[in-house]
Amino acid sequence: MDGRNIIEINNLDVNLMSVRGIVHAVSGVNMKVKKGEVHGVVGESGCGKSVSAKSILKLHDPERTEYSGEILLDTEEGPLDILKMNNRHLTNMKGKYVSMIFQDPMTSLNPIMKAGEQIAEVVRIKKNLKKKEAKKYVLDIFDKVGILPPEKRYNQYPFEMSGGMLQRVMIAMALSCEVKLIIADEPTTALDVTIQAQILELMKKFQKESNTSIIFITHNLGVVAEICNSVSVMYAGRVVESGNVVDIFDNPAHPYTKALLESRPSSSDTGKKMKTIAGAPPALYRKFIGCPFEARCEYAMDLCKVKIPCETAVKEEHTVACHLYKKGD
Amino acid sequence: MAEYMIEARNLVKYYYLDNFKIAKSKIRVLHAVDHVSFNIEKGEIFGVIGESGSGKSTIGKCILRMIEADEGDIFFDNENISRLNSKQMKARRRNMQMIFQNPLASFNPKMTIGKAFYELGHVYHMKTQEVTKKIRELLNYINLDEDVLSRLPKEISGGQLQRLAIARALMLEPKFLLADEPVSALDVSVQAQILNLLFELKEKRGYTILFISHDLTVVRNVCDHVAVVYLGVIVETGPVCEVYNNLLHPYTQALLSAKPKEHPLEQKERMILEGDIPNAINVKEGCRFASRCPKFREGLCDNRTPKLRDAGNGHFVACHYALPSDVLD
Repeated sequence: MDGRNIIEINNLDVNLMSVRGIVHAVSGVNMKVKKGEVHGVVGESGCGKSVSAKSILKLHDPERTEYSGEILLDTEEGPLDILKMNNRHLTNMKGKYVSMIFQDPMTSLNPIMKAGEQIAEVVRIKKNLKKKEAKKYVLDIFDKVGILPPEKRYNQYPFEMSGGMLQRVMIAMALSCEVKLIIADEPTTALDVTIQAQILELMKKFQKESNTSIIFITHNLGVVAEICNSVSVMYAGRVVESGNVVDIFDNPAHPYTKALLESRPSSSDTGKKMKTIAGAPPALYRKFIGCPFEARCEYAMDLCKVKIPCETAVKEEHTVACHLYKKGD
Repeated sequence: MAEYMIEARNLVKYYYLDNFKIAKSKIRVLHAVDHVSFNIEKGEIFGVIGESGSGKSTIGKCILRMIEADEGDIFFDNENISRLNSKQMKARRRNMQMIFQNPLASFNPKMTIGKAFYELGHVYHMKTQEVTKKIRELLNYINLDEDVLSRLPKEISGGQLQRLAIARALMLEPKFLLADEPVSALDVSVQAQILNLLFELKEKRGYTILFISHDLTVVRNVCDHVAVVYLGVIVETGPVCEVYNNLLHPYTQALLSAKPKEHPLEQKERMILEGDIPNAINVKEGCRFASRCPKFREGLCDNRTPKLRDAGNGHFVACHYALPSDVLD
């Protein structure tokens, strides 16, 4: 493992057992996140972006989930494979190296516990602080992330706060342990644009100050443009394209990425027909024989039906999984 | 003189909270819609933009009289419908249909799609053959196979279900459609399909649509006229090209600048609003945006409620300092 990366996901497969059969939610995902960078993961609903992120913390029900591949995390003791960790080791790692921000803060906080105390609890366990020290510590963080006035907010319950304020509490919680990697799963999706702008600004600020790496999961390409340095585009449980964010926006290689960028409503046109991607994403109950995007792709060839494309580099740090780009051509 | 499909005059909807209090001064009043007037021309898409809690959905529902307005008149096709009884209303409802944000919640979960269509026909005394013919025509129009009719809503993807919801709304051949956030629950690629469909309805079939949304870009793409709502009042309204090319109200400016970038290298001047949208309980005299406004001036903004003023070309704005002739000292 390269020392520059905080996390490396190699050939990750996640199969979820559901009532209707096995869902191949993630298949063969490779992802590398550098230290101090914000890595975006974009895709439509059901493309496996949340499932792969949750696998980093092994948050899926262990009895119904099958993992294979490896997730290497850069720790003080060298690279460790998260998938091979036992529960105790994993708990230690959470909050020390990795923490997570979820889409809906209302359901991820304890509704009958004061907001401040929830964070103080984490700090007391992870940092071995006394009760009073923990409170002071939390008040400092509240002040830093704009939960004002901190004293009053400390004693409020989640239902007394607005969505934007709760998301700040979640961010405060993620920041409280000074982790190396934060996984943010659609942190701004449930918020209004003006509040979204506030939260993104806040995340950018603390990311710069603390040089934390962030895996930023979103379906909004605008948010990617706003905050990410590099990005992976996912479709049907696979990474179809990944690279530097400017590269992806300027020279998208995969037909899906192109279509996704084109189907955004543009701010300059009025009353023009928008480009759409015909059809809908496939169900993931079967393993694919060919390219999963084949049915919706305008460049589909015979080869696409029978062979799954593997990742090819089109440029340094820009890979694409599509038969249009073959090595040696 | 343009013909109007909908004329709303001085719509008012207040919610009285804690009614049980005896002391009248302690009853809190939530001003959900506060003296709102606008006109929708025949054959246009009229957009209403606002953040959550701004009262945009309440305005839509008041027009269809799904919520009774406290005051004000609604003219539908030059007829005042605000005092009609429920039987008279039912006859008019045939001409006004709605589409909601969450298609899954707008279909009966235990009814097959086909049954939902026939039920609607039954309510309006349509013959079964007539309904069958109509359904065929509509399914053909929205590009879906007839086998969806035997399926339950949960077995159909969100985008397809939203198209079916639109088809169901069209079955009675209404003159007016209310679309309340029809695309916010959908993925980008599917969102474009629905927007194209709505746009086509207007262009080719001459439908009048009231389009409620929180997304400025979407509104710019499909609408002809737009009204920006903040805490129950219209702060800016006019033709889309006029409003977007010449943003006058500080709230509209902030809303547009809060939108994420379209390209990572785009330079954007940000005007980030402080705090959340306040609630509309017991609002006092003065501008409602005063607490978050960057242009706030003491004396005028907190004492006098700004009225909608003409800025030329049908563009109206409610701000004391929006017009070039207003002196900023």
